[in-house]
Amino acid sequence: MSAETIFWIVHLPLMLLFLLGMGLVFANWLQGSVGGQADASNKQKIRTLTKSVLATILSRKLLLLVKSFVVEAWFNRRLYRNDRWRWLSHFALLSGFMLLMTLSGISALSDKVLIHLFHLEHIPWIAMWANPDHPITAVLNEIGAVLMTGGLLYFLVRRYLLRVPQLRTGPLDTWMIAGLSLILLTGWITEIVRINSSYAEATAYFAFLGYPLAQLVQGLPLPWDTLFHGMYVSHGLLTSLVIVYVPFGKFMHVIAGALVTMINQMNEEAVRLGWEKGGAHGRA
Amino acid sequence: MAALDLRRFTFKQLMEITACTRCGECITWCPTFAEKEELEAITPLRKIEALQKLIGRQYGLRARLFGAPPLDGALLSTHAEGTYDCTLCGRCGVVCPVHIDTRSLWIAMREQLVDMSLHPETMNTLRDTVSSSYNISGDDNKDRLIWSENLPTIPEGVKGKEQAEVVYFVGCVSSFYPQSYSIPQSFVEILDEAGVDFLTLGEAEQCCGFPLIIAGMGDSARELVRHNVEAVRRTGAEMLVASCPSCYHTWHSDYPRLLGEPLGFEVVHSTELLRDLIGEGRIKLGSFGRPVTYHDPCDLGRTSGIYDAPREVIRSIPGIEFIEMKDTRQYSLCCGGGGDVEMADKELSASVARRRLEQAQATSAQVILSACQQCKRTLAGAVRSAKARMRVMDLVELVARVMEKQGDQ
Repeated sequence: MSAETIFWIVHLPLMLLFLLGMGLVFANWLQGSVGGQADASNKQKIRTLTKSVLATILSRKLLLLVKSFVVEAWFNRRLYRNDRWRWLSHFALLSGFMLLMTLSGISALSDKVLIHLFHLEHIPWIAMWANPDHPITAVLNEIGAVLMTGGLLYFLVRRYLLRVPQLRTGPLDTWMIAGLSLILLTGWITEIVRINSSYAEATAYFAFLGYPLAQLVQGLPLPWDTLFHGMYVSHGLLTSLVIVYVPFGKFMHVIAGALVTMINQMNEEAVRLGWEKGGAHGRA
Repeated sequence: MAALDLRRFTFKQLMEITACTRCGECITWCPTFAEKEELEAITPLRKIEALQKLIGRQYGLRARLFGAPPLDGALLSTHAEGTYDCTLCGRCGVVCPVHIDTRSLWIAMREQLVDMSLHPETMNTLRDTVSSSYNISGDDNKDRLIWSENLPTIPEGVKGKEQAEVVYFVGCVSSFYPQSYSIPQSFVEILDEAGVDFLTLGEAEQCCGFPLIIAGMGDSARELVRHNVEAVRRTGAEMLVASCPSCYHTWHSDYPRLLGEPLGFEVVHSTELLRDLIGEGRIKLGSFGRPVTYHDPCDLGRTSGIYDAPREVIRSIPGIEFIEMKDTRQYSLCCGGGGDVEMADKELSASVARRRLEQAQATSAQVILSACQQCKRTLAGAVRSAKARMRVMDLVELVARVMEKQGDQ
């Protein structure tokens, strides 16, 4: 059984668990009132929510929503005003994460669908995404990993070494940081092992940090090919485990925080522009 | 204890509770925590965390599979204390990196605590007083115009008029607390001088309901809302002006929601009307020679978004020296008078006021201006306690003082 098959056999049920967890979170949110109706049935609430979402997407408010996502959820202008260093580390971590997830998604699409099913490997701009050693793919992956690593290191220093007074560190925080740290560590190791294995191409040096690190340990008498399979599955499944944990821990803020930021900022802007009536911070 | 009922929260508020990253940014900005650091439960972070824990234990995966445990009484009790030791200044919401609408969330938490009978006993007294007397002081509501009795001449709009373009909603504090009488006295003087067709509701005016709404007892305010709106509609007025920011916000934002329909008239704050009257040349201002600073009331600034109108009024006074304090506009430090905290913890309220006074003193201004009778009362109390050489005035009082009257010319 190949490493990839093992990965999918474990990954898919974990993703089902993730979806169940998200369903539980949504069910809890649904206990609140929607459109002023606290006692409406879940079906009615979902209908009202769907109408509201569609009404927003199909109106000029969509522009505000997109702007809110970019300026406040992603670039986090408010955090930039409050604390530049925190902003930098959070922006690096988030951007790196988004970049790596996007690249993984595009790579899977290219490899498993466009090449495997539709045999489009002859098209260079499709084939490149399935090749981790292509200059563009390699550099982008490296940038993503460096951003995440830099951001995470600052979080570790701030929370556990500097122990900034405003922070209240609990088990949830530690689990989250531990999970992220392990993913990054195994990611770097997987990349180093891959570069030293027979799977890497001659252009592997475009991984501007991974390649020199791989060179450092190249001389070690290790079964690089076998190690690569093991690390590939471990890194992948660790990511899957952390994803499963999202609905049940602090990681949920990645989804909920983005949604809340977008909605509240969009509403504030709509009031400021006179598109809607409301107080500076009105009730939902 | 019954299971945790989440119906007092909206769908979005429950999302906000999940969205909190516990980054602690709110802690550094919380004015009450700065004065009471032994009570962690006051901090926005801990308030949300308490609810996250309570919701998790009642509705999390383990509870769904094996049944929910009984509610943690100790956690609830600490949570209740922290929730009511909040001035609802909203500073935490301004700095929250995920834009949680904290003020609305705290009010929803209070509503839930009221449902569970975990609110302070003083809130019951408040509710009983407002329900029976229609004001917060417990005085006979027929005495709503007592503030007008020592006016040298009482403008026509103060009593006896039944129809007018503008209704001046005086509010309970200005109506019944002698320290604040000069605010409505000054305002009606200005309105009269400017030739504004106005009236006051007199004893038909009832408490706007704000103290009940923020105490988590908004259901008890519905009758007040209905009564007040009907009273204004009967006058045919196109505008309602309030000098109290809390009354203003309640009328402007809460009334349409509670009523379920538009009011049918415009709602403005006194500073907005003053700005317009000055801009139209309907009142002329003389000079004022003492340096002033301005305190942004929470319910006018952060809650209602009105920062510029009061500043434009100040700057239109000839020769005025206006110095801003360290924390202004959306970052303004609370005076400590809001959130019903004065009722729940008088000392805490006074401590917060003291800190704001220190910021005012640092500007070397001789006069602290504000646009809220509650801020004026609280800051004046701080000035008295500190024996500071400063005067606290409402902006309306200053304008009345420097206003050139037709009779003077």
